[in-house]
Parts: sequence; structure tokens; C-alpha cells
Amino acid sequence: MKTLIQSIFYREWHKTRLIVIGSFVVTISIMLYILLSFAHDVRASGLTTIVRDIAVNNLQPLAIFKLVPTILGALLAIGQFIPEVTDDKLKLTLHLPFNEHYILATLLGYGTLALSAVLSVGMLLSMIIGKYVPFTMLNYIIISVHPWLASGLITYALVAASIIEPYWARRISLLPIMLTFQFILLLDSQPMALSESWLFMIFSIVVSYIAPFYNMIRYKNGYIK
Amino acid sequence: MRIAKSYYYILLFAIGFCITISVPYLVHMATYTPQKYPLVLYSSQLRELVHIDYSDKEFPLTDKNGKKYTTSQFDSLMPLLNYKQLMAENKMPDSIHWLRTDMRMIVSYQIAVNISAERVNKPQSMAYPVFESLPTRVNEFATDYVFCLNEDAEVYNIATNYYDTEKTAIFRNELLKNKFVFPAQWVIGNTDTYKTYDYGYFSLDAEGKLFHIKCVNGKPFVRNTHLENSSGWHSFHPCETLRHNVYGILLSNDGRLARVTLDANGAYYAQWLDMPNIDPDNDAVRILGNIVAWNVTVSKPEGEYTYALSAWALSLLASEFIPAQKCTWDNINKWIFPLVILIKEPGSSFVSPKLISVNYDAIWFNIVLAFAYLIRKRRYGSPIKWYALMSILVFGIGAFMAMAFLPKNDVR
Repeated sequence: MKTLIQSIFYREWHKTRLIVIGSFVVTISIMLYILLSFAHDVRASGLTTIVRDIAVNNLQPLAIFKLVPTILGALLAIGQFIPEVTDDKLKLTLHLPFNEHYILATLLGYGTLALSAVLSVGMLLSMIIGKYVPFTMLNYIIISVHPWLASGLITYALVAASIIEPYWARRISLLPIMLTFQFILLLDSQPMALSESWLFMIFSIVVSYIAPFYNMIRYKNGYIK
Repeated sequence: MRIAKSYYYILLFAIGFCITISVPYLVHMATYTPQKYPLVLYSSQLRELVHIDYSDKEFPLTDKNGKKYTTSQFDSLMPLLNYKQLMAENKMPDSIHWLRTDMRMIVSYQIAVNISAERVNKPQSMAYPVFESLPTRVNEFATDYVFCLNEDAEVYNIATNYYDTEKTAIFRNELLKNKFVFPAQWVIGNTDTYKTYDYGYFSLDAEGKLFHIKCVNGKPFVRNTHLENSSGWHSFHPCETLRHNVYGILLSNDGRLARVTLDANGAYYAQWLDMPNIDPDNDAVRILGNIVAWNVTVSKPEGEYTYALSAWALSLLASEFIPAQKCTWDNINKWIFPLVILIKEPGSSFVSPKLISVNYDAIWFNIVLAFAYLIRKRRYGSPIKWYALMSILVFGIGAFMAMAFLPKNDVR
């Protein structure tokens, strides 16, 4: 089992290394831009004004980062699963002498870990804002980003599910879930606007990760409609 | 495969849930028209509530009997609203209701307050700017400090991002000396820097006691207002007046409004507004006051209530109700959507899907959808799933569209 996980991880890394490295570069670049922009605003308007804006007017310094997890999640899923499906490699992989659920969980686990690592680096860099704002407010800013990170994971899982699904018309069945979840999670940039939606976020992540398993069974059994 | 069935039902439920949220939202966006009510104010000359329509240039004023007045009559009948026009034409009366009316008097008694649950029920950073209430220079009351007041009191210097231990200790000691019990339930004040003066914040401690907190000459000022109410205080809505005599409006948990001032002895005084209770979590209130009367407008789902209260005693002078006009959304949603789940609950700035209403009248539309499902199943010779039929009868369009998006007819 350990060998299976290692082998699959190595294979996936070999396939997606450019996308993952590119994601790191993009995330670090965007975070550095956000920090430079924030420092520039502090020099221009004064730290007191900026911090007061965050406290009173709900200014979100990380607003530019909003769509980054979603886009990276989609790219990673495309880069990971399209070669699997077009070359029928996924069918061979699922016929390995292991439970297909474990195999797909390993594949999705690789993607989730890679995406989480990229976004974690971004969030670690964002902590540099703590040099300028009190800890209470840094907490307030960072927690507000969680819905966007959840949106990235949901996009990864649902795009993977869409790619695995063998019948093109059934891919549309995932549209209501994807659009509704993304719309709710990305609706409001106001910090902590989704602080009462933890249950909904967990529900949407769980459902999004169930979709690839359902489509995998259809793919492996050769359903054409 | 049993597990495949479980996945299928979970996805079906999720799709149905998403459609139940998104379709009413889109239909609401396409069909909802916000209510438009005429401006209703108290006329000090007619001593009754009148309707004002600024779009009618010829007869902007209509009284309660339906009689219309010209623009110059409107100016004379509403002198406290049109005082600038009357003063420019030298037609301003010397007194109204035995009160001297010069420009300074009129402006100093004007007050405007907006009360809505969304202003209170919104995400907050829990850090509040410290303003100097007795600045040495006029309009220079902004300081470099913010304070946090929830589980404990903290003061930060935001110019240097430094946790000021000395000021924190002074602030904490002052709070404890006045028997403030942590954590604070809420802290509300005017955080805008574009204001003429600052009087600090009002905070409700854990035991429901209301405190007044401000910064005076660089030192914390904390006082227990001793304003008590059997149902507890829901929120505080600050306002500024040129006379500096009104702190704001307190709203109790049972929906009563009170004006907060200082009495002759310097003690805090809450004077109740003589009007019916409102719903603190749903109703919106607008108060426009002058030297003679306060016009209090309460917007409820069924319509708009306007009350005219005496500016001094806050006793009821007149009231009026204008029913809401039903728009297309109001007419159709109860027949089509058995469940209405909104992404943003009315009265809150938080984003969270919440069930707003259950419409039993939609059962007829659900029956039509159930028939459509049966006809389709018969036409293609598919077996009728009774759980699917029951879901359509109960959940309506959400279940019907979910089954259309995710049919269970896997074909190899």
C-alpha cells in the first residue's frame, strides 16, 4: 500500500511538475505584489489610515488573491486528469490489484496536497502583513481567506470529476453544484462575511470530493450514458 | 453497487439543494421590484402627517384628505424642511409653536438616524479606533490607537504596530474599577472620522450593563450608565447633533426605542419613544427630527409605518400606515417555490444559506411537476421510483431539476 502511494505520487509529480512549480511561482509573485502594494499604500496614506480602514471599513488587503485558488485548482485538475483520460491510463490504473477507491483517493490526495502546499506558501507570505497590523486584525484578515481556499479545493475536485465522467452530457450535472458553491464562497470580499458558513463550507467540500468517486465507478464500468 | 448508490443519492441531494438556492435567487433578481414609498413627514403648520413628492414640481405636497398644495404653499406649510428657501425669500416665521426659529436653532435641533439589523449584524474586526473627546484643536480627534474589547481589553498603537502595555493596563483597570464584566457583548460607536465631535462608544458587558467608554485628555473614561431594561439592550445607534445633547438611540430586545441623553444632574437618561414595538432583527427604522417633531418611519414586510412624535416629550402626535405593493416576485414565489433559501439573510450582512420561508401553496405546482415526471417515465417505459415522486411532491422544482440533471439510467 505504501509502495502504491509512493509510486502514484511519483508518477503524478512527474506529470504535473511544471504545473505545480508554475503554481508556486504564480502564488509567490501575487503575494509579493500584494505586499509591495500594501507597503506602498502605507507609505502613501500612513499606517494609521490603512489600519483604521481595515478595522472600520472592512478593507481586505488580500482581495487580489480571491480567484487564485480557484484557477490553480482547475489547472491542476486539468493537468493531472486529462492525460489520464485521453490516453486511457486511468482505466489501467484503476485495474491495479487494489481497491479503486484507494487508488482514486491517492490520485486526489496528491492533487489536494500539492494545491494545499502551494496555497500554504501563499498564506505564510501573507503573514508578513502582521508586521503592520495588530495580531487581532491579522487573524481577522487571514480567516477571511478560508472560503477562497475552500473554493480552490472544490474546483479541483469538481473539475477532476468532470474530466473522469465518460458521458459529456453528464458533466453538465455538476454545473449547478460548481456554480452555486463558487458563487456563495466568492460572493463577498468583505472580511469574515462567511464566518457563519463553516458548516456549508464543509458540506460543499465533502460533496465535491464524492463526485469524482461516483464518476470513477461509471468510468471504470464503461457507462456511456 | 451499494456504494455507488450512496454516492448517487448524496450528489442528487446536493444538486437539488443547489438548485433550491440558485433558481429562486435568479427568479428573485428577475422579478423583484423594491418598494417605493412617498416621503411622509409631519407638518408643524397643519399638525398632521403629509406626503411629499419632489417629482411633482407643481403640487409637491398632499395632506391626509388628499388636498394638494403648490410649491410656495409647501414651503410655508413645511418651514422646518424648507427654511433655507423661506429665509432667502424673507418669509421665515419668527417662531413656530412658540419656539424661536433662527437658522442656528433649526439646524442645531436636526437629527437623522438610520437603524437596521444589517448595520449591527455585520462582520467586525473587533478593533475600534480611539478618538479624543476633548481635542485641543477642533476636528483633530483621531488618534494613533485602537482598542479591542471582547475577552479582555487591549490597546494598540497602530502607527508603530505596538501593543501598548501601559495604556492597556490603565484601560483594563478603569473598566474593572467600574465593574465591567468581560466579555463585551457589543461595542458600538461612530467610527467615522468625518464628524464634528466624538463622544466615544457604548458597550454592553456580559451581565447586560450598558457602559459609556471614551478617551478624555488621553485617559480612559468609563461610566456605567445604569440604564436598565427588563428585556435587555439589543443595540445602540449613534447620532450627532450640533447641540451635542443626544448620544443616540437604544434598541431593546423587545423592540422598543429610547433616546439617550443626559439629564439635568448629568446622569444618563433613556426616554422611550411613544410608538409600537418593532422587530429588532428585521425592521428598518429611519428617524428625521427637528425642533418640533421627530418623524419615525418603520419599514416592515407588510408596509411602512410613519409616526410623528413630539421632539421634547416623544409622545405620539400622528401615525400613518402605507401598505406594501406586491411585485411580481411576491405574487409568484409562493406558488412555485415550496422552500426559499436565501444566501444572505435579510437583516444580516453575513453570507450564509438560510431557509427563509416554506410555501405550502406551492403544492399545486409540485403536483404538476409530479405528473410531468410520471408522463415522462411512462413514455420511456422506465420504472417509477416512489421516493423520487415523493421528493418532487415535497421539494418541488429543486428535486425535479436534480433528477433531470442526474438521471439514474446508467447505460453501458
